[in-house]
Amino acid sequence: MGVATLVSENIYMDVRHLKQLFPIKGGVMSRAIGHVHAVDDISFRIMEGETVGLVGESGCGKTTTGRTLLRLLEPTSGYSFVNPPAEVVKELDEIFSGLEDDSGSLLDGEISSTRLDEIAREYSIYGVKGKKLKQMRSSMQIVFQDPFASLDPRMLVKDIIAEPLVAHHAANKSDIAERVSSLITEVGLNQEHLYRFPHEFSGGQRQRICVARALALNPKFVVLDEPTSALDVSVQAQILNLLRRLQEKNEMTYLFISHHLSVIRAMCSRVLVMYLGKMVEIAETEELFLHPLHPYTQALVSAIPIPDPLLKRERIIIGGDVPSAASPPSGCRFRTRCEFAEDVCREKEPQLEEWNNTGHLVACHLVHRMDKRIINAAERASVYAGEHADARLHN
Amino acid sequence: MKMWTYIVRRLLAMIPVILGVTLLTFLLTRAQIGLWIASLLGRIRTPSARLAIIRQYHLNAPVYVQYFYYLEGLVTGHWGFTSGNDLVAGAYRPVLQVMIERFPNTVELAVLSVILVVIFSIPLGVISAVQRDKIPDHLSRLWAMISYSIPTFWFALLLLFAVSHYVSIFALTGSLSTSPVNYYLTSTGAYQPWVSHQGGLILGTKPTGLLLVDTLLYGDFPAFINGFEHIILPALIVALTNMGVIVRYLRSSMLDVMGQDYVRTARAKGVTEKIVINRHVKRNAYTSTVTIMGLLLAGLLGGVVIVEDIFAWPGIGYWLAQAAIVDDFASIMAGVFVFAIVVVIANLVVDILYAYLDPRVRLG
Amino acid sequence: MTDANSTMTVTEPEKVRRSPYSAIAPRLEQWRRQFYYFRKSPLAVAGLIITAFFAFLAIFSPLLTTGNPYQMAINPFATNLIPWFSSWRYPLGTTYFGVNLLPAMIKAARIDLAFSLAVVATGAFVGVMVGAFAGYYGGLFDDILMRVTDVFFSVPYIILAIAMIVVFTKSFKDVAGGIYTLLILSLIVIWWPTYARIVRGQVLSVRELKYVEAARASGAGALRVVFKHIIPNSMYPVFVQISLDVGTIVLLLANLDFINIGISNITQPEWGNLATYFNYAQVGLTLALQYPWTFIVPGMAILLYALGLNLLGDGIRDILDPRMRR
Repeated sequence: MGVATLVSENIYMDVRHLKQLFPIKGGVMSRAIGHVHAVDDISFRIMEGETVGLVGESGCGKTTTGRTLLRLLEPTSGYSFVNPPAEVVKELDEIFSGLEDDSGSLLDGEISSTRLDEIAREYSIYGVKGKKLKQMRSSMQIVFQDPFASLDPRMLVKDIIAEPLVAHHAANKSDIAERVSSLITEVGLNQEHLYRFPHEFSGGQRQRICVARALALNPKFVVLDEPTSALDVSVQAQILNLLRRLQEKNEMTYLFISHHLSVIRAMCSRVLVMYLGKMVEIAETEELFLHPLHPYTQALVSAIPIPDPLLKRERIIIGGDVPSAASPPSGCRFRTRCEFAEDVCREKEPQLEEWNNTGHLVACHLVHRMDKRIINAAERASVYAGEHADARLHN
Repeated sequence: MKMWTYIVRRLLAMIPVILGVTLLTFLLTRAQIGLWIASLLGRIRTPSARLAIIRQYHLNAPVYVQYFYYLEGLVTGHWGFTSGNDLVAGAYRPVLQVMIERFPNTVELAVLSVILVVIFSIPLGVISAVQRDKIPDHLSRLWAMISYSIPTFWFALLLLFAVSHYVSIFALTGSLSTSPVNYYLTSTGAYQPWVSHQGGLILGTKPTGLLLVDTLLYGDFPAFINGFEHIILPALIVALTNMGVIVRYLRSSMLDVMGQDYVRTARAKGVTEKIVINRHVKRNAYTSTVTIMGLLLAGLLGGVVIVEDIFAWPGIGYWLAQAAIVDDFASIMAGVFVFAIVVVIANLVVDILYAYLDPRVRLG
Repeated sequence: MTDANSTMTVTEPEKVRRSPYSAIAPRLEQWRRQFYYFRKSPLAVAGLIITAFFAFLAIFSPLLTTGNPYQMAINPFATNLIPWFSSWRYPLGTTYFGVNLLPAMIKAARIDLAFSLAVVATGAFVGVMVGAFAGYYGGLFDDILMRVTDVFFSVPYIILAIAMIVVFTKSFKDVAGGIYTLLILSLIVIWWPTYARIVRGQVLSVRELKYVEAARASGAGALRVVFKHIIPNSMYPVFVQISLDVGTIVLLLANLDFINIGISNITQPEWGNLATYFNYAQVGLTLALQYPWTFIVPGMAILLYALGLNLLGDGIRDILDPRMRR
């Protein structure tokens, strides 16, 4: 696939133990009486040039992750190293292996390491300051889910697109005008659209404007926060194609947040699956769809509609509701809804571990007992992938 | 959240506001420290007394220490002495005493005004919402606007002018006629205990301090009627010039409720318009209107000051208006403080009432 | 030649669009649409007309009045120290000391308008700045601001004004503008919390909107976000409040005049002052009721002025907040 060829060996972003807790206030004095664990200690890497999908149901912390990566929210704790050189990554691995216990979670108490702080000041977006932060920020942009809310209704389109340029003092007036007009054609709109207000556009056109604004500074990394879910299906494909075309052209890295697995499959080279603030599975896209290991991922994958009316669908329905993120279950967070849950799931929190040395990471204690289901799921997935001649014979 | 948690939290929220008001008056007294010391001295203005005051209030110490002793003075009732001349009791009375004496009269006028506001504005607001964009609506909105825009003293003078052909204005000023003929004898012919000075009752004859209540308690109907004749015109003026807020708020909250789905459902069920309005719309609209009663009171008390001045009503407002001219510093500061406490407590009551009526508030 | 021209315009529409007019055109279109709703409300139109009338009086007052309305006051032997009414020389009558009411009121229009605008504009500016930043940053600054506004809201305006004037009146004896400066400053001090509170409330909701976050994501600093996005999008209740307050200030001033601590100089043409000339006489109230036009006529000007602005403000509210338009 075209997407995959662009992926290089360089790590673009190395996220370590990111935590984002929101206080819940209550009582007479409005003190914090608890926390919503929106993002609870997640670690992952994003390679340069790849499109990483982030899936999960609503409220699982996808959007919070995206916003925190750009430092639109200050994280409660954690690091996100941007463009770290290989030797720094190696050093980080060493430092963190010293700080983590056997199962991979951080040891109690504050993370304190002077060397780590040093590296953070240099590379972590939460550690850098001043000019460097501004520079780092200009290389990272976001496209929001709702194109109706993310454009200032009182500004002309040309001012909206020029905003990042003006904010970063990136160019003088005539250069900005030139850049803006080239951007608007790049996203498939006309020059005359520049002198209109956002409310005069359709959803798809607005999303194009949002994309143009995000691209204004030639970012290296763009968070796409469900960029198509507010749009009509017919428009979605156009926007996705636009995004892919721009990615190839500008050699960008995408973090594609979505709950729509088909879109993820079409866009991404690698997928992160999130559940209730935790990463439960990380794998190459095709690998994930062929061998969904985590019961949650399996349920998600089984819910993809299969475009063949003759096939019997064997959907895995997850019972119950998502537990409250304010008081997540002990051990494995999915255990309350998992049909395989055992005592160990309640007692111990599973860590992301490689499955059969394949680079396919999954956080499940019972993964070795999943074989049967994996085979079933693989069949379904292969059916979905278009190899359904065999499958039809089985029925 | 439980009701008591809400009440406790609301009570705690009062403290910084009241402290803030004292801080404000404190800063004002520091701006004119000479006048303030004179107010604290009262009649005896010798250098040694002055030194004693400076010592007592630590006026040479840093400002925060001064604030502490200022607060101590406030709490222990040392609010200074008036310099204005009270025609009954003369000058240099303790301000606190004057305030306590006059407070019930102001409360009486304000409460009656609020009652009148409610009586007048409910029908106007309801008609306005039900007959939206028709003539009655325009008229009632126009009146709401006029009531915002009318100068209080001007309106009072206008009404006085209108009635001055029929009644002597001296029969309308004060809170009770000074002429003994009308009511020194009750209807049964017995001696009645009212002793009035300057149109107000003197201290010993007031069980509650509220004239209309007291006269009823004594069963003295002629005096009650006389008092009512005195209070009704000022209260009417205050009410008419302050009712706009409520009319508008009621109208818009009625329209709000009328657009709700459950009202539409009721209509769809075939409930008649009258019952829809009476049973569903009014109740909810009234509940949300309770929230701005505090705001109403704050605005209304401003009007009370002016009206008291015109009608020589023996309340705090009249006293303040007189005090302003003669630079009666202590009275002005006390006035700020007293009015602030009245408004803060009124807001507290309104909030608790609203939380009781609408449980959603307590959750927030 | 005509052919060449026409092809030019067809092939390069962006050239035409980029003229400075075009950047304004969409806004004009928006305003036109909004004005349509405004026109449909008779009360709002009446408000606009009244306000325009007073603005006209204020701007052209030197041209509209000839001579000195206080001329007769200067002559101690003037026969008409008693107010007159119904004479064509004095269309709206004279008030005490023989002051001709009509020209005096026209002169007063300018002073009242300038006074109220000075108070409201400064108060709104301070309030908007404080409120916007407090709302945007939140935290301790915000908490303190809220307590301060609570304090100001819990004391009736007129009491606060009395307190400020009594305290500072001596200090302002020698300041330029004297009592006017004092009045303006104290009313600003009293008024800014209203705006701070309104703006803060708006900012709290606006700052959560996605386009503000989008602006922050594109690298805009706090200043840019506040001035470019938050304040413009939080302003509509401020405009409404401004138009209401421009009227209210004059009302408050008139009430202060009545209790004799506002403008109390016979030669100052100010509506409140003109309406309370009876204060300068020994038996004020009874005299006022004897010559009712002396207070009715200037008071009517105050009423109309405040009414016009209130109606206008209501109309603006209907335009800017379509939620209220029903």
